[in-house]
Amino acid sequence: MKILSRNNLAIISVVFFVYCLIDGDSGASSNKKYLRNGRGKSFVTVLFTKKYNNVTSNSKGLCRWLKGMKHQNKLCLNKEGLAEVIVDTRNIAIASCTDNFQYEQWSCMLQKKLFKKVYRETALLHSLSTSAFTYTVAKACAAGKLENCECASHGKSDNPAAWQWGGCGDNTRFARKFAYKFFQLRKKDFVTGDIVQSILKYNSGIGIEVVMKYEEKICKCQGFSGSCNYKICVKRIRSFNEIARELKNRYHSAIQVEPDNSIVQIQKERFDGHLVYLENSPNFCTTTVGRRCKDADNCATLCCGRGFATSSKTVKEICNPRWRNESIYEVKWDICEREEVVYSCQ
Amino acid sequence: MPGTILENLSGRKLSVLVTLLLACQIVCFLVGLIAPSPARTQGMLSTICVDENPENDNINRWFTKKCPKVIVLSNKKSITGLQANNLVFAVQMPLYDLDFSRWQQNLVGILQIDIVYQTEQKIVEPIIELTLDARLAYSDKTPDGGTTPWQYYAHAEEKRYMECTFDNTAVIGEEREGYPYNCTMVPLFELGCLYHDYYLMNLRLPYSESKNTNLGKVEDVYLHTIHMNGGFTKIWVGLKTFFFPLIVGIMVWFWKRVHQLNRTPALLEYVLVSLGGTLAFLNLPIEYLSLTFEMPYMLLLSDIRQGIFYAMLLSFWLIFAGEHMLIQDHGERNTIKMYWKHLSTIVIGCLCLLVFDLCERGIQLVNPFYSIWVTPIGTNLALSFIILAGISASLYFFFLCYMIWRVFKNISVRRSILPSMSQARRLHYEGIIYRFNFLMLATVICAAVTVISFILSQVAEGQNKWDENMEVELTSAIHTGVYGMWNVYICAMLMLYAPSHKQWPNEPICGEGEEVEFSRLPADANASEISSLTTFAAKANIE
Repeated sequence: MKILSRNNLAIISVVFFVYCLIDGDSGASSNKKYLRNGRGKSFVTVLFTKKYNNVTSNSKGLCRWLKGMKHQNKLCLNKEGLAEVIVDTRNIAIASCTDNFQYEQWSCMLQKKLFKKVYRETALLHSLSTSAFTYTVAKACAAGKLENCECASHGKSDNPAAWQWGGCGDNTRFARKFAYKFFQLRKKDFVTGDIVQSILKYNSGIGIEVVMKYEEKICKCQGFSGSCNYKICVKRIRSFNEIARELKNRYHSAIQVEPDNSIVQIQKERFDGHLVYLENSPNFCTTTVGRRCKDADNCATLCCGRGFATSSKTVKEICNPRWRNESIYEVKWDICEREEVVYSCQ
Repeated sequence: MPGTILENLSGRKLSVLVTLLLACQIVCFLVGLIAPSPARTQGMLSTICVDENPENDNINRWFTKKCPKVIVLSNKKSITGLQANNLVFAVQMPLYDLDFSRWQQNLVGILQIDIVYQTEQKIVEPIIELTLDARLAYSDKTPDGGTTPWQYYAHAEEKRYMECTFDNTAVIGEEREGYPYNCTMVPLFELGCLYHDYYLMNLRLPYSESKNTNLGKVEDVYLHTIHMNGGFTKIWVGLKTFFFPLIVGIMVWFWKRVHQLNRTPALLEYVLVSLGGTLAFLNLPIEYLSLTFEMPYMLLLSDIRQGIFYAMLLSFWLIFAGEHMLIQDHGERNTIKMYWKHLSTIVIGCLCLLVFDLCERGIQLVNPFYSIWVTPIGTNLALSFIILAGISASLYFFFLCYMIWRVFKNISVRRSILPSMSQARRLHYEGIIYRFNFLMLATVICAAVTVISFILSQVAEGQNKWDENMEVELTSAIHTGVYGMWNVYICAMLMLYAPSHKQWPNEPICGEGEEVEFSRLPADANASEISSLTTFAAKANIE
């Protein structure tokens, strides 16, 4: 999928180039606007911080929590199945984030302050949300749950005649395109903005790119006696676990940039796929009191040098698992007791 | 006595003919540009239904997307108390409210099974033997907008092998839990015709002491389907419809001309006519029939048609080269027997492919889930057939190259005696040699283009190679272009090698450049020869 990711980068660079033309020298001064760009909160902020209550199951009810987001709310209401996709996006993004960051200083706590500046964490959450969205959309398309994603390659037409003529587009390609639209990362969405916006959008683009990178292509030959008259490739997205892990790696390798020169940098270097942030992370040390850590090494960083306590407790655990003879989904096991050392920060 | 049209046609007429043929070729290519890519895939996520009484063997119980109890395998709560035999993976094809069109010709299904790591259920062996209980049903639209109930189409319990690996170095410790294995996809079925509007697959992974014992925790099952594109089939069949009457017409004309002569047709003429015949057979647009009748043998038939055509074309080249080399003894008429050594490689190669094809596609007529590749014996058998065919092919090319080399050598040797001839005669032979070389060049180009396009279509893979937003589909253009090229080439061969009517008086013909008419000289009048080039070579031999 290197072509796609190259395209991806090309699009991002074009987007930023255009953006830079418009935004010229606003750099540092507009820095203070942060995540507000005249449209209120950004969608990613809402996605991670707003409580959504699943009271009704019709799409109107499911989309209510997006009320403040004009663009996303409109799409949510108009596209059947999208409301569920957004909820799923939120769920898998948060679940994988908490899962992956349970032994990090920042435990994926979704505080509102994270969305006020561009921290390393903000960069991660932006890329995580777009990748989760792309992944969920592709999966929903494959399950036939999202309206109109069947014939993406034709763009406008999803009428039966087009399907008969040219078949259907590819789910991930559609998902990618749609994610750009939904998160307003396209060129035309860059009418207003500033350096913060462009960095966030760049990070969001990384999320989509990572999904495309984990797309796997399997080709099959068709034709006379199995010869390769036509070679047809089938694409599959690997599990979201892998995507989230990759993003975690990128979180650790993120690059801090100065607001002044970053536009030039975005244009020229494109940061080589690294996540980009502006501000040093807030101190998370206060939040780690009492948290569990993995081992002595992990505790040293996690507890910010306050030291850690070890206690041992007896845990009941599944052991000697074996398949029950008649089922592969049910496993028979014994319960064993084991002493476990629990590390926790002071 | 007339020679062939190639020798007797005036330069101007010849260039008009060549231009026409070239234009025809370009049109074929351009037509391909408006077609969509030949085939498309659609990935579909299966719905996991719960079959409350798996012991019920009633074949007509079908689970659709809207089955009463749907579960998610990654959700541990929803699977407790369930057994493997309870689970049915249902996929309804195509997705959404679409329905298959008969123009889409055929359907191939490939299975992707996502397995995740579980401490209690680790995969021990990397090669997993899968036992798949797969059933297919179909349904059709009714005139009042509804659909007919699901009808049984096929059922089989098949074995497949899947290779699963786990990246032990990248993922360590607790993180492994729930992390996916990297598994290969498995081919599932191949339908030779898409007669019905909707298809439904119900897949079970039965578990017993001998079945699926090695399988890990399945989380999702995807079915990727491949079907031809309706638009491509339309264009393709359109091309066939255009070329079929054309080639039949030219064949009739050719054969008439041959029969007007007071001699029995020569070997090359027989071969040319049969080449035209196989091309006409290939061009016969029987795809129209598949729009009204259920023809699951379409895939097999098109393989056979293509195979016969290739066999004939390869034989033609051999004989064509051979006839210009004059391997016969003087005066003796050539028969097909002279070429048995050369032709046997083609026959063996083609028979191998035919047997292989009958094994795979033939059995698929009865059981669409059958694949020769899944059992070790079948794989070995299939491989040995293909290897044998490959050996024949390389032997063939060795023969052909050798013969072409000898033809050219032969001609260049004879050419050296040209200066000693009278001017008229020299011009005559030089012209013929020039045209013959031109024709050989066209042949070589045709073969080269075929090979190159074959390689290109392997590399290009249509939509991804080129810019995503590009509407133009190059793969299709390559296919239609090559198809058109064969038609054009064989039309040209039939036309140029047809006997000419022209009778020229015995007078030296001199002219400038293109306007030279390459007439037969009376000295060459030999009723049994079709072309003066062969005569020339033979004569030079005797001299």
